[in-house]
Amino acid sequence: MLNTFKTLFTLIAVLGLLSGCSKNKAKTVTPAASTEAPAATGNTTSALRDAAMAAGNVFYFEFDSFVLTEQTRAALMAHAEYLKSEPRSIRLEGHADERGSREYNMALGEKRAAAVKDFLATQGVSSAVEVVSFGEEQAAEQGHAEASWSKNRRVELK
Amino acid sequence: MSDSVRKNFLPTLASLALHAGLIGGLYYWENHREPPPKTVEVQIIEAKLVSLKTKVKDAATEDTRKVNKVEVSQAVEKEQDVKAHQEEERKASAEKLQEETEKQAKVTAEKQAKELEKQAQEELSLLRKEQEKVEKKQAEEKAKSEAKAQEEKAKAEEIAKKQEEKRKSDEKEKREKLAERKRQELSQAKVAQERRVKAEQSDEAANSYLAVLKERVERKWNRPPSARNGMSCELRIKLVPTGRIVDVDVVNSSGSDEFDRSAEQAVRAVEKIDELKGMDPDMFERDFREVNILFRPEDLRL
Amino acid sequence: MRFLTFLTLTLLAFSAHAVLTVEITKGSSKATPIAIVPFGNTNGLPEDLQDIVSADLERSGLFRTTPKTDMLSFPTTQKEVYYRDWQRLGVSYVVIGGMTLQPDGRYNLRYELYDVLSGRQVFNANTMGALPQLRDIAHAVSDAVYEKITGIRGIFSTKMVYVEDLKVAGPGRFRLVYADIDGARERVLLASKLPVLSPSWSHRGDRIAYVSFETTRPAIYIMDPASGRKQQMTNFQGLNGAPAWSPDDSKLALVLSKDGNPEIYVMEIASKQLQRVTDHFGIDTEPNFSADGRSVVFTSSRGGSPQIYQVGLANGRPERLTFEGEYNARPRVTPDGKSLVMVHRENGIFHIASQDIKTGDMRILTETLLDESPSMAPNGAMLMYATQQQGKGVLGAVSMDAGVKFTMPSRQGDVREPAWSPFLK
Repeated sequence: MLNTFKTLFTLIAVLGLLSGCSKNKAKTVTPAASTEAPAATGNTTSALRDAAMAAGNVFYFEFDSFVLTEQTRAALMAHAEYLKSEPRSIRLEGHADERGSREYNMALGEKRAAAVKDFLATQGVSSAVEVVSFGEEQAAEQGHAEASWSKNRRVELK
Repeated sequence: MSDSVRKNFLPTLASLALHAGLIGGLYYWENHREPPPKTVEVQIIEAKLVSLKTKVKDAATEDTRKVNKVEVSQAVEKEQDVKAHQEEERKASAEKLQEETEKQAKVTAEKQAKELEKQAQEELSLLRKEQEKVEKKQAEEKAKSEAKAQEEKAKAEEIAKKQEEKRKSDEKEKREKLAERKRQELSQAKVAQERRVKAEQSDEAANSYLAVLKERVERKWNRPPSARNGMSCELRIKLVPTGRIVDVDVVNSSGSDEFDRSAEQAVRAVEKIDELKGMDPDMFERDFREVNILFRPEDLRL
Repeated sequence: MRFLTFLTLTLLAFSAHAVLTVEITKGSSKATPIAIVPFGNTNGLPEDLQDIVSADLERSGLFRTTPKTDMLSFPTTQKEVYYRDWQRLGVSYVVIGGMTLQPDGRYNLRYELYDVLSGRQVFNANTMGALPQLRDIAHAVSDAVYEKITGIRGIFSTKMVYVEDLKVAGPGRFRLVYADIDGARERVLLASKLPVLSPSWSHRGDRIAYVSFETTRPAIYIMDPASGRKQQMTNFQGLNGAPAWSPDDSKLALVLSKDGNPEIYVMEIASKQLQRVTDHFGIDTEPNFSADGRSVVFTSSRGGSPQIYQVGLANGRPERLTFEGEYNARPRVTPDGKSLVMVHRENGIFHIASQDIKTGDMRILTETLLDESPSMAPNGAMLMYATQQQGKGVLGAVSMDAGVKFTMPSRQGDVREPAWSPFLK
């Protein structure tokens, strides 16, 4: 119940961000979210880490899209909780599948990683985040069909 | 955690309200904006025109205005004066021009109308004259025949025999002449007809020979990639009765060596057209000793 | 249909004295049959010049060369050219020539082109070079012969660079390779364990801009391919990509995301001063200068899907250029400035397409697999692009009328992002 509420809220926040409403507005949301960070949890850090590990550190996308899927948002929330309890600098590497032009895919990877970064920020993560896009230059799988492509349209949290 | 929901709820609500307000505002503004300033512009232009007109009209009363506008420097006044004067002149000349044009137009129109009328009358009188002529001729003929009949009646008996003989011989002569003429006409028509048919046949034959030539050359013409629609090159080829092309000359160059060469190569690649061998020798001499070939591509992409 | 063409036959002034005129409005655009006769006095040289010239002309798609084994004779001087013999072989042109070794140690090739059908010489010339330049000598012959016959400047002496991915992790996995346009004499300009991409030639041909991840983050570099000397041009947070030279080579258009989104900027090379060109939350990338240098065409997702836009550098107002297809990206302006070539997706299939800028007419040029990265030849007659063959990245080429298509022989690794040099020297 609580989770649905929260998901709904973040969905609104992310949509607001993506649908071209001003950046300032997204920022006004962020501090409100971050204030609640330390207050959270009766959980231990190790439990949070386990939850984050279980969520995985690779997040997948649709073709030519940098919109976070519901699954990704759920996974990122677990990571956010863990990062808030044990802050560290992270690196988000954005990737695309091989279809389309290379520099466009480079920008697409960047947008994907940035979407993850923004989402974590709305969750109150204040760690230093480095965003790097590799476009289609470093495929996770070498195949030339959807089975591989779907695995290559991704952001890796490191 | 429920705290966070509550905490986040307010800003969200606020932002939503802000958005709603913005959208509402935009909508109101969009709908209550003043109409586009197009009409205003038109008004300005009109006003200018009016003021210009009055200025021109008032040019004569410039003096009174001069008195009123004491603070205006003389130079400006002078300029205005000159301007007014110029404008007056311009207006006058324009009016004059217009008048003249109108007058001219009127004159031309009148002239045209007159001419048309004259033409119609002429045509009518011509028609009438012709009719009169015909009538007169008929009347004359009638009178003649009557007179002739009287004369004949008077002289009938004494010279009946002689007359009869003469008439007979006359008629015979006439008939023979007529027959002769008819024969001549007939034979002439026949000759013309024959000539026409022959010419048509020869046209047709020449056309089909040319079609063969065209088809052969088109098949061999390999255009360079620099060729463009609209380029043209004219060659003159010399043929011998066996259908062999013995000489090729560029009569009109396209200006491009590659294009000209491709045309010449096409003709040279054709070499010989066996179909021409059976041609009527007269036709060959007349039309196929030399033929011009105009290369002008129309099917290229560029 | 044929009958109709017969009917359109023109018969001018059918009188006894006027000469009849036949009008030819159609023809073909077939490969021209040509014989490159082995050049005299070239035995024992390390390169087969006859072979190189024949391969050049064949690859252009505009010529069909006669195999040596079909030739009835091997003339090296005009006297020895028997037009009848060549006519019998169905050849339109013959190239002959002979090599002499100069006192200074250089090789001098005299070569002559003959029009077999008209039975005359079209032209003759000389070209010279040292032993390592034998291939240059051959390409010079190809260029001259090609131009004399087609009316278009030859591109056989131009170069290319491309990116090769050996697909084996290690310090030399990604390579920036420099080679003759026929793929020979390749030279590795750069080898890196991290990606290298987007090579782009300056218009003078003396420098190559590219993107390298060698510092673990992307940065734009400029390299002099002759000396191998390089200079880092950008090092911003986020994207540093898609460099493209202005017509006068004084500026680079490029993509940076330092201000939050991928945007187009123009950098003055001497001062590294930046001018921001676009401002949109979507993706703006892959800039390419218009022929007059006053505007930039680029890919943008601002309309929902990637499409091509043009923006004036003075007014900054983008205008959409492409409306056909669901995905149009990576525009390149053709040398005449009149068209674009681009990656174009229709019904899920990626093609290379060209579009007339003025009329908007689009033509699909390639239909292989996952076609991308078109790069125009400087004579505007052909382009090279990247495609896939048996799961491997290879380079393909296609003539701009889409009539001639071929792929270059596959190499060790994945080959991609060909960049065709301008005319050099």
